[in-house]
Amino acid sequence: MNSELTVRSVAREINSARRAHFFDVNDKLTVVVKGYFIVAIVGIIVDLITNSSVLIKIDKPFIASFIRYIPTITLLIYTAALSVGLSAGSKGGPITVFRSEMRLVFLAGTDHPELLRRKYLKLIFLRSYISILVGVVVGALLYHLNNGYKLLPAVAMAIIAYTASNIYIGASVVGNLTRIRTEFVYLITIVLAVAVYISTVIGNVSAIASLGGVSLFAVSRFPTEALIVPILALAAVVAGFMLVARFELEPIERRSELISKLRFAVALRDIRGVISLSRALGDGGYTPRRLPGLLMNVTMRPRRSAIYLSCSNFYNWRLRRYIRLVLTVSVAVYAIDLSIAKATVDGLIGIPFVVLAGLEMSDTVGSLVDHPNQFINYPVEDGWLLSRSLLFPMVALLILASGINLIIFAATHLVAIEVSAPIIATMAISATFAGGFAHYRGSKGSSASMITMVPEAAAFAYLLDALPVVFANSWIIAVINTKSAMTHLQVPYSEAISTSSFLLVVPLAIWAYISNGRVVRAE
Amino acid sequence: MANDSKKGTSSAISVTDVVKKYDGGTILDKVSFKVSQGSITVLVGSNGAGKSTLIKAICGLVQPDSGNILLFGAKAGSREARIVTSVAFDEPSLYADLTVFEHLTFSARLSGIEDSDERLNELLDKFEIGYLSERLPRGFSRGQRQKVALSMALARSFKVLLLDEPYVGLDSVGKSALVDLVKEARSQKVAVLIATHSPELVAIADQMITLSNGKVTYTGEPKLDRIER
Repeated sequence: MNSELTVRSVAREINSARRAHFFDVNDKLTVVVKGYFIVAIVGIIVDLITNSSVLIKIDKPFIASFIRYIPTITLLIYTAALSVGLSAGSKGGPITVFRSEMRLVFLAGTDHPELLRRKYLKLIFLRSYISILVGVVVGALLYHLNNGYKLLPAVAMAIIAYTASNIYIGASVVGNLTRIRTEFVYLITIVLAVAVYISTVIGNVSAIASLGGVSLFAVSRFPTEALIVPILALAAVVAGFMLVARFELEPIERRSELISKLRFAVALRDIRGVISLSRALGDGGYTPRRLPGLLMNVTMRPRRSAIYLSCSNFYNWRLRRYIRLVLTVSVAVYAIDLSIAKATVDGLIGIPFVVLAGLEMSDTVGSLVDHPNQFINYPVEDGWLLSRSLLFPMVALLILASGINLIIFAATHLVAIEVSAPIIATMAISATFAGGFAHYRGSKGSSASMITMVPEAAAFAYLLDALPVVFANSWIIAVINTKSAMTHLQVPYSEAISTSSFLLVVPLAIWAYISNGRVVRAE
Repeated sequence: MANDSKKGTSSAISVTDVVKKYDGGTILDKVSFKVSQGSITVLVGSNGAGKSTLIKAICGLVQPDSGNILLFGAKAGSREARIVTSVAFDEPSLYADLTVFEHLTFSARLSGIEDSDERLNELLDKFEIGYLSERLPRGFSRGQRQKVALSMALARSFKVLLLDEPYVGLDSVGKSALVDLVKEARSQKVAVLIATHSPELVAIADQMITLSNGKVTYTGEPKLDRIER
């Protein structure tokens, strides 16, 4: 009566019925918006690729140094895949089963190990196709850029991408079954990364570096030990197939729900939602049931000022968040320094990190706006809520970014400190403002809170909200492009350009102030 | 409604020394109790006492760290146990791209009931959501979603019915329908376990279990004054 055959046929019918309702759920407007963004992103990628041969100067020394470091880069990719896989597994990954499916299908009289295995196989095939495709495209591109020099044929890159994908899945299974703690994942990652680094210092002929040497296939230095990692990764995936039936369902469901909300936040370009949900995913979805540090403090000592609350939240952070912030700011600062010294493309890499740093530092704003009666001891109508609550985060980010810039200068002498310091300071100030504004608009200033489901049409409102963030960071491109143009015209570089970028903060602050007042009045 | 048990046991649900820990905290601490066939048992306790986790453990969503949970002799989470179990959680979760009637139909069919239209329409009428049957759940209120989720659970074939906070979001019509349907299930020898704070559900129960900080603090006759203790 309740045979597995029946269950399979019903499961197929469910999918068929869902497909039949596709156009009822996704309206034309949404499809247009999504299509527009896909085209825009593809356009940017194509633009970068077609201009990359100009931005990256490829010559014999570059190729020689590239070959030298390929095994190391490959091993670092593998290390990253292992780290991310273990972490995802410990939170319930790699399989995704959304709550509706879990409740309707998995909790029915189905053979759920069989269902999990099927999901696992689907995941493997999907990731294999994607990774091999990405590997082939990257390999072919690098081959093309090198004017026919057989440095990285598509097949080698495909093997690397496929191996990294397998490592991720295999590690996820291990992480899921062992519930490995995040601290151990960090430790394993650091140990492996240090081992790879030491191997690089010794030289790429060392045993460890050879493991990543699969990419040297094209230059006929294909060490046999380079195949060890791909074979081990494949074995891990096969072993995972045997073990996947032991997965506990509830962590899978919880992680899947967070992923579902994360996708929704990404679809709406709700950056605040993306950050918050990423954090929740990092915590395995357990912590949202606890009271956040900010609320606890305020419950005990209510009616503190916004400045105090933004400070108290800062010292209540978890260690991993400090580490993440330092890494984010370091990458942003280094990328900006590189862009000033060398190529514009580095600045493009740095921009997302600038945005992330600003959002990390200014997340108190959302809580303050969500609960003004509990937290604010002065009238919010004065329009200074945003400014006050951002004062401490702004100073903190300014000090942090400037300190990191000093360290980078001491280590590399990449850019004169009098040139980079004003740019980095401007970056810190505008990033905090932009992040705070995004958080503010993501709260009561906007039409929906962080994870509230809103009609698709509201996506446009979110897009408009994202504009300040875009503008706040566009000055980086402006400054870098000006510098590039001046270099091209053989005009000496002037610190005045970077100093004047401070001026770009002013319109943002005015915008935030005016909008803040308007929104509060509207409420 | 219910299938015959393969292994004849006096208890439909048997929970023995179940322990579950999350992130260092003990959510269920050596929980033991039994629920017999044809009875309604209410599980009460303050927020965070472990009621939902216990329901999830019984239906196989959560694996206990230690202890045993048997449903008609089959281990919780096994296919045999899930065939006889139907569950509705405190948070209704529906496919955005299936109509209400499709939800109910697939729920019934997954438990082996092929020709279920009459029963499904009866459920929809009792909860007064017949007018929603061909609609997608997009835009449904909390109460409407809860009614659909409860209808889905009741549309299945089951010998064990697990309900986690079923009254949340329900209007008086929904509450009344639920009470009737739960009583009907009891009369058909179904073992019903309800996690609730509601006096109305405690009033129709045959047994009451109170949980506090993951421990069973009372098992016996339902007493309204023990709610929320």
